[in-house]
Amino acid sequence: MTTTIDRKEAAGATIIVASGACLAGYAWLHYPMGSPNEMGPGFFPVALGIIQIGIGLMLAVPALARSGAFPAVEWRPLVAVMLSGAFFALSIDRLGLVPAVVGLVLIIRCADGEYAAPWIILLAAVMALVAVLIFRLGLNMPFAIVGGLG
Amino acid sequence: MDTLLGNILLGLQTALIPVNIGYCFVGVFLGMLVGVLPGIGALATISLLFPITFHLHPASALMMLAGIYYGAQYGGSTTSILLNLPGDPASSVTCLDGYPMAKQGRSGVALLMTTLSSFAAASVGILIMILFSPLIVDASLKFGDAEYFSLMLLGLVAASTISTGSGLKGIAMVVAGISLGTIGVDVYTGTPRFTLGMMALWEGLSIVAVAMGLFGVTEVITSIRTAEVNRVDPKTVTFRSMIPTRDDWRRFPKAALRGSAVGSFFGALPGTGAMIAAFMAYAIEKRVSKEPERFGHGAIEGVISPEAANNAASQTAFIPTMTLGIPGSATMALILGALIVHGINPGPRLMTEHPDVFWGLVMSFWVGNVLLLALNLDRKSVV
Repeated sequence: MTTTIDRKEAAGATIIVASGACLAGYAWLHYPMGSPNEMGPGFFPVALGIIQIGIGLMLAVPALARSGAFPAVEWRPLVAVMLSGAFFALSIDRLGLVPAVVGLVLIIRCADGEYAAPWIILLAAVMALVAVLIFRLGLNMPFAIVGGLG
Repeated sequence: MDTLLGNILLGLQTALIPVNIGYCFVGVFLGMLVGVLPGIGALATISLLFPITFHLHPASALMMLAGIYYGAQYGGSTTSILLNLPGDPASSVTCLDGYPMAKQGRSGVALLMTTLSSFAAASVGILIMILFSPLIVDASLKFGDAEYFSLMLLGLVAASTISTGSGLKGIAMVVAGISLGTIGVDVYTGTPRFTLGMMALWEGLSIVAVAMGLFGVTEVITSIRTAEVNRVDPKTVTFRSMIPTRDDWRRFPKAALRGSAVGSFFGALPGTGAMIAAFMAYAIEKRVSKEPERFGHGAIEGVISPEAANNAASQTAFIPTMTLGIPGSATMALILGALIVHGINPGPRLMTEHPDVFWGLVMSFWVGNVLLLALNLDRKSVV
């Protein structure tokens, strides 16, 4: 899809400007600035934020002046991979290692629906086994195989 | 000279412990595999394996992670030659002459030559590291704050602007990275910054989480739809096709040497590294050749020299990382991260305070390269 402005570049520039503005704004409101000779905790973040805004604007100007194609965003893998990571992080201490790994594999499957169910079950089983062998038995890391940290 | 010999012996003692040889083997083997697979690179692999190394001795951890890095340079050329598909960006220039060679039924020669030139070049890179690192450390121990600041700045700017793409975007990402670094307790005033009331953020973002998120997870997300299993080239690599002609041998030493020299130089500079080294080596080889018209149609030098360059570069890339504590690339930053996680401060003092780690790593390069040589020759005669 080609548009009159380079939306991919413009989107990137917007993200840089926005993150710079958040950084500088938050630091400005919450931390003392001090002076260049005796910098407070807010000085450096505010400076970084302003630099980011500046660079973002410099990237935005040429992007507005030319046309460009916006890449198709693959939402499914993006959401599935991040969800699976979040599920693992939340469940490892509450449900234990094996349920966390199995859940992770099942959610990941949604990223790309081409794999048949038997393979996914096999994959989940192997992953869970390997995880238990390496992290619990091999490296003796502190989490339960099944069940919360009681 | 005595201390150098002593250091080499100390390094050998560390590197030749069976456990360490084992980790080195795991590293180079994995590196070679991910080098062959086009979808996944050394950077993603290192960031994914990073957490596992916590429980290892720092020397073993480094040997394994480093092995992945230089092992990938060996593997990358395989698919460049057989499939015209670089397994690793640094091997993309190898396609130019490697694939034509494969089409002429000379893929075996090309693979053998790349393996030999990779090994020769890595050896040159390691020797340079052994000889020059102590000199650099001596000089840098006299450095004060101003010199360090300048070096850091040079490293950051060079790494972000020289490599590829827009320099402005590179600098934007440097600033974004430094911004992430401001999370946590401000060392000068003790004020917790951007912690949102969470104690877990007081010490800043964990380098593991950052590495995993930026290099590991993103790689997985982007490759889910694009990574495809490629069919193997029907022209199999037979044993007969591996035997190089006398002409090939005649061209080998000079091309390998030029490639090694170019690679060693660009590898040690921040921001350049294996890919640029390989392209430069190819360009130089074409320039000095008496028959430049052969390039692009299966010229053996066009395979030998870039492969030598990217392997030499992947060894000398460790020089600024290990002697100054300044990473030239994202992968090297992860190697530094592995040191920091083990409570070792990277910088010029590393060599004197942890000589076993430094010299052990350098000597493990030999071990790893010998293993890679054996693995590659074996694999190619089996195929």
